[in-house]
Amino acid sequence: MTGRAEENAEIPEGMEALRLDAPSDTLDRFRKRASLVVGTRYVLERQFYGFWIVLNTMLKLLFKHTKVPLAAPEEHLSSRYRHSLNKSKEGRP
Amino acid sequence: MNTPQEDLALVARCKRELPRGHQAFEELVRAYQSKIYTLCYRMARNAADAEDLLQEILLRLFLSINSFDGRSSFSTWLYRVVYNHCLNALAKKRRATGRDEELASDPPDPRTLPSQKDGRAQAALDRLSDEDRAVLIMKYLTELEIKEIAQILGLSSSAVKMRLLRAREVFKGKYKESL
Repeated sequence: MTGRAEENAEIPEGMEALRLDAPSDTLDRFRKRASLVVGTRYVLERQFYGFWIVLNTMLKLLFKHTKVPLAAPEEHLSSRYRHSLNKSKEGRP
Repeated sequence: MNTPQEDLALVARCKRELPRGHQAFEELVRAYQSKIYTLCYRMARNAADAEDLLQEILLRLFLSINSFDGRSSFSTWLYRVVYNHCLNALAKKRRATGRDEELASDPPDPRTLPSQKDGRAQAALDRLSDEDRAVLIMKYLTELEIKEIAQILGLSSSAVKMRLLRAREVFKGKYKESL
């Protein structure tokens, strides 16, 4: 028996007794679980957002205080030349 | 049982409401919970495992309902999730226990075995492989069409018909033996 006959074949004897109803507390259990998952996700997202703000601020502060000067000041010059430069600055009017 | 159009309308409402509102999702759960539970129980053969599986599946649906794109009917998509989840859970349990027989030898739950007839039918069903059992359950207990079962299992319709024929014959034989 194949084809259309197979589609319309009757339910075998005994199988109808295997139908079950879900436990009555299914929805309550699911609500608790879902609210826990949604709550945890929310907290984790908020925590991640908070963590990102703190990290961002720390990085900004760090780079602000360790800024590399773009214009080369006198430290890059040799000590002898710096000395003569200071002398000439002092002699200026 | 919902029509495919009613299911689609509920899914569209779920996508709008979730995660703040659960009303549409709960309507979907009410419509399908008994059939999902039947499939889980008959696959897992244990009430505690079936209840856990049901909850895990509902949570999975809750988190992934936005990924349902309407290419198949909602019921087909849902039962595919249920079937794959049950098979994975059974495989995991078998790896953990190491023996297939242990699954079948779990003590029957009195809440779900109200009659001898049920026990005999379950015993006959237990003789089938996971795939054959799933085909029988989907066809006769969750009342899916052959075409839908084929989509869920990733088989051709004719392969499903052959499997159904074989599974039904084995079930009938084992059930008669136990009378």
